[in-house]
Amino acid sequence: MAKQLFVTPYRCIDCKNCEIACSFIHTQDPQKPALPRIRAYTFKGDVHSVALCQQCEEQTCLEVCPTGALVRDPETGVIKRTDACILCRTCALACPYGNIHFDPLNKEIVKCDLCDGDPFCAKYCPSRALIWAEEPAPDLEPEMEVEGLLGEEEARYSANRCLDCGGCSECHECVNVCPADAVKLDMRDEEQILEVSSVIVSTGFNLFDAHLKPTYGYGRYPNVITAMQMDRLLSPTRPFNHVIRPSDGKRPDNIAFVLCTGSRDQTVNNRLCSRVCCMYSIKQSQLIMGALPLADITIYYIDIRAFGKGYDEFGEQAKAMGVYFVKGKVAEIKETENNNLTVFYEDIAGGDGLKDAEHDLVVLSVGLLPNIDALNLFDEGLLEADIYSYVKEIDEDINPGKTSIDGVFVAGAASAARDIPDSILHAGAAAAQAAAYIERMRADK
Amino acid sequence: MKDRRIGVFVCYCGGNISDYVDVNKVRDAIENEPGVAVAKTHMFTCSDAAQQEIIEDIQNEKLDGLVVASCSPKLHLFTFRAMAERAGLNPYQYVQVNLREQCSWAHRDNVELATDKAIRLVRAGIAKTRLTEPLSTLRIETKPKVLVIGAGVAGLRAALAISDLGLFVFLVEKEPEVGGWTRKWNKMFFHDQRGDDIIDMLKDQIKQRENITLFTNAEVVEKGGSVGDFSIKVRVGKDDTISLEVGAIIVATGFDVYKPAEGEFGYGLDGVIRLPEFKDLVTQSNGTINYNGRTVKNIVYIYCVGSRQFGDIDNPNLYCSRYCCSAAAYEALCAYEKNPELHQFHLFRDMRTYGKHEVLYEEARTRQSIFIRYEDEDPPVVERVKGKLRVRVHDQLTGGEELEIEPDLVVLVTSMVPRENDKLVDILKLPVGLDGFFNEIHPKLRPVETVVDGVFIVGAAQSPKTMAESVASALSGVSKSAALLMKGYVDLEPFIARIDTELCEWCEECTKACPYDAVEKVSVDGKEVAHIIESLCKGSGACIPVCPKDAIDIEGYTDVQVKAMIDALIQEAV
Repeated sequence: MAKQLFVTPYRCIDCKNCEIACSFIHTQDPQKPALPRIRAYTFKGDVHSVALCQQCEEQTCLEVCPTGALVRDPETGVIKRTDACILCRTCALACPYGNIHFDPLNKEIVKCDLCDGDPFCAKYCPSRALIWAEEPAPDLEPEMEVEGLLGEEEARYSANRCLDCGGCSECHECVNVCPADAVKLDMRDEEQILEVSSVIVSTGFNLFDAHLKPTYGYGRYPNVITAMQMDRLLSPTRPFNHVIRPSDGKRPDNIAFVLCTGSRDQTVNNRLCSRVCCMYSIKQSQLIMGALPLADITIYYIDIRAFGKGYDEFGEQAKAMGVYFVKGKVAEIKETENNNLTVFYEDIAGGDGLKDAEHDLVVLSVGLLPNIDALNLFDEGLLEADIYSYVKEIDEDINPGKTSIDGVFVAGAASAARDIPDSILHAGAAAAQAAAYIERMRADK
Repeated sequence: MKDRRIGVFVCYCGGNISDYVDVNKVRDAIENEPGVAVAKTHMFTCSDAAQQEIIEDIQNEKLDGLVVASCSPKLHLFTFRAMAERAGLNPYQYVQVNLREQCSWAHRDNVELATDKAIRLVRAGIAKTRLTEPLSTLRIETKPKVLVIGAGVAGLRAALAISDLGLFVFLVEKEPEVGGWTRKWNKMFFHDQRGDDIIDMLKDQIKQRENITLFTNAEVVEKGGSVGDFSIKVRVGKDDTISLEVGAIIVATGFDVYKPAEGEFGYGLDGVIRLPEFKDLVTQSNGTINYNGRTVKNIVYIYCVGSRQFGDIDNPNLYCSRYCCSAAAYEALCAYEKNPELHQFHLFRDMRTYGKHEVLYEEARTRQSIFIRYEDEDPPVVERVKGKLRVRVHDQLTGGEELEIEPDLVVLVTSMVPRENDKLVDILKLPVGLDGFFNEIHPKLRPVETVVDGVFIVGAAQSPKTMAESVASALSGVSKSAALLMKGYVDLEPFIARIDTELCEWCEECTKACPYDAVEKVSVDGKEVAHIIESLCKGSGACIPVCPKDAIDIEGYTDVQVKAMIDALIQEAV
């Protein structure tokens, strides 16, 4: 009798090793991991199982394919995709079990091909919920939760299936092959003592943690992301070639930006404006317009603070490109069907009072907070903070960047939220004063 | 053409290029080009490891020309020039070919043609490299002196900071008195310091400095020379003209207050004034605020007067003036302090009390100030009806309800506008932006530098700023000037024009075309010919097409080189 893939749901522990193994074996380009053909699921919290192509006799997928790209191997009975596929995804719709998927990263239709007769998922299933055998595994007694010791053969087999995802065995091969001699295995932390005449503190800011605004659902709803995550999706070295949303890898077509997340908000104990969020959100909205020309983008704001040189013009440009600006602070975000999100807000400019709108991706424009680590750089209490815990500038009007310690200057967002142009100017001011301080020290000697 | 030994290195840029351009095919296509001694590919050419390998190749293979086909020269031209120099190769025999911005990123849809284009681009680079000559930079000794134009708060503070570093300062002020706008003002946000106190303090310090010379009633009338070595003429008083030699110039000419047109938000009506005038009223008041002998009880502020306009002829100011929201909220707090009985209505579009200024807005809301948002297209109307001021506005918060306010005073929260100094713009040859303010090279990374090397723009001359921001930018300009001058010399790029004196017959066309006054007439063996002043020439190339004798070439971009590149570009690709 030919081997088959048997699934024993009660043994599945939802470890998803099968998914990982499937992805590994099917990945062609390491930068574009393949979508797994097998899916591990948890039902109602504690029932686990996996789903994969049944190679059904009633072959709906094969029949609906308009180009005949799906064929059944006459010998093994496995249904396979051929090059005739035009990515129409009709088979994915037709599959009664939802076991055919579209892989957006690699742009292909994926379905189980049983690894040409050696399914990796079964190899790497630690609980033997999946086995590749001629007959199903003998049932365990329900109460018999503990299995016997492994025999030698089994032990060797188990040791061999380690994927060794991140382990280093210190074989030093990397040291030997690196042409630039860049790998050092004997490096340890070292403390250096530098004698300097002046110090510039440029320790930057902390980002507001979006979890602290629970009404916006960050961390609970997969399609609520922060603007930093959106920036990653848009950057030239982005992980995917497209802007996609986390829950299903779909390209969003109705995106909301929620400004002042963690800024101008007494409920999270930050009354200050973060100064940069309006502009980075507008920048991102313009970039998204380029990446997803058909997407609707809405920016929910209290005030658009496009105050710097060329900023207001940049905001108007976004408006002209079709970005919707809605004046109203968002009160709450709730998840609806398909992981879409309902945004509740007050429509101030439209005069319509409380309203809600559905979006398929929400970006929280998180604000800037002081980096209080800066205050611990010097002996306790020496470096004074202002009432917001930023490094205090004791004479901002005439000596911007001068701190409570003589010869110590602060630059950039360590003393207040600042955007890049203002940080650069502020840093230039700190440099000029540090140089003057050193010059004075030298003259006094 | 003598035999060249050129190294060609094609970069993957970690996929940025190699995803769309078949990098190895490019290498294979050009490795047999005449003159190519080494052709290789690298994953990241800019990495230290790859650079080290290339340096070894240059030395082992005795290369005399180098082509790196990677990203834009804007990113790594200097990286690879320095690498060439470390390997002992003349840095000007290095040519960068841009396969990323100008090829792979632009042609993601067609890998085949992108590769074809890349081959042509690299061939053109090789063709140019075959004709490169070793060049050397032009070194100029710098003068340890700085000219500061404008003695407002930014100019004064800059002068002191330069003097702190031991450099000489010439401070030139058009007005009879220093201090600019700041001198005229009393308490200023954000730290409640008095403007006039600050100016007095700075003035006193400047008096004590021996290395600062201040000219008042003075104007810059001429600028010659170039970075590190400018010669300046300043007119002092009515008739005196003095000559100065400086290494750098800091422009701190400040701003003007927007003057609304007659009737713009009621401007011209009795009781409609601008924010600076209102500031004076608040300063003068003891208890109540009085205007024209009447006690003021109700005030309406109208924001964005002269800012965020619609860009037509009558309303040209598209930009936001940045300081005004915070300044008006602060002034309302000052007025409240004088008279807590006041009713103050703020008609705004977006409150831009950015950063810590937010607390001004917050405090004003708790101190008798009512904020009413009006729509961009539906501005408030100010009229005088039966001897009384009346302001009508549609309030967005109440669904567009029309409100009528009868104030005693309307304060127009006016913008900062660029100063009219066309003459100075002309003398310094500084570019001015669409908004009329001086333009920096890069708004984020080089905010005080200009396209004219050695000339820096600081304070509100660059864009509207608060006092503290102006001072920060002034000090930033000081950092840049000092970094330039304290080294003692500058090296200029050798890409300047050269005259073939045998061909030249001095027709004056080149000197007319030169925007930098870099061409002079000299006599060579009794023949009048053009001569390029090296320190002034920027290599702009303006003289080249106008020369009827083809007697001019730009070093590093000669006609022969450019023609060779074109030939290589149109050659049949294999």
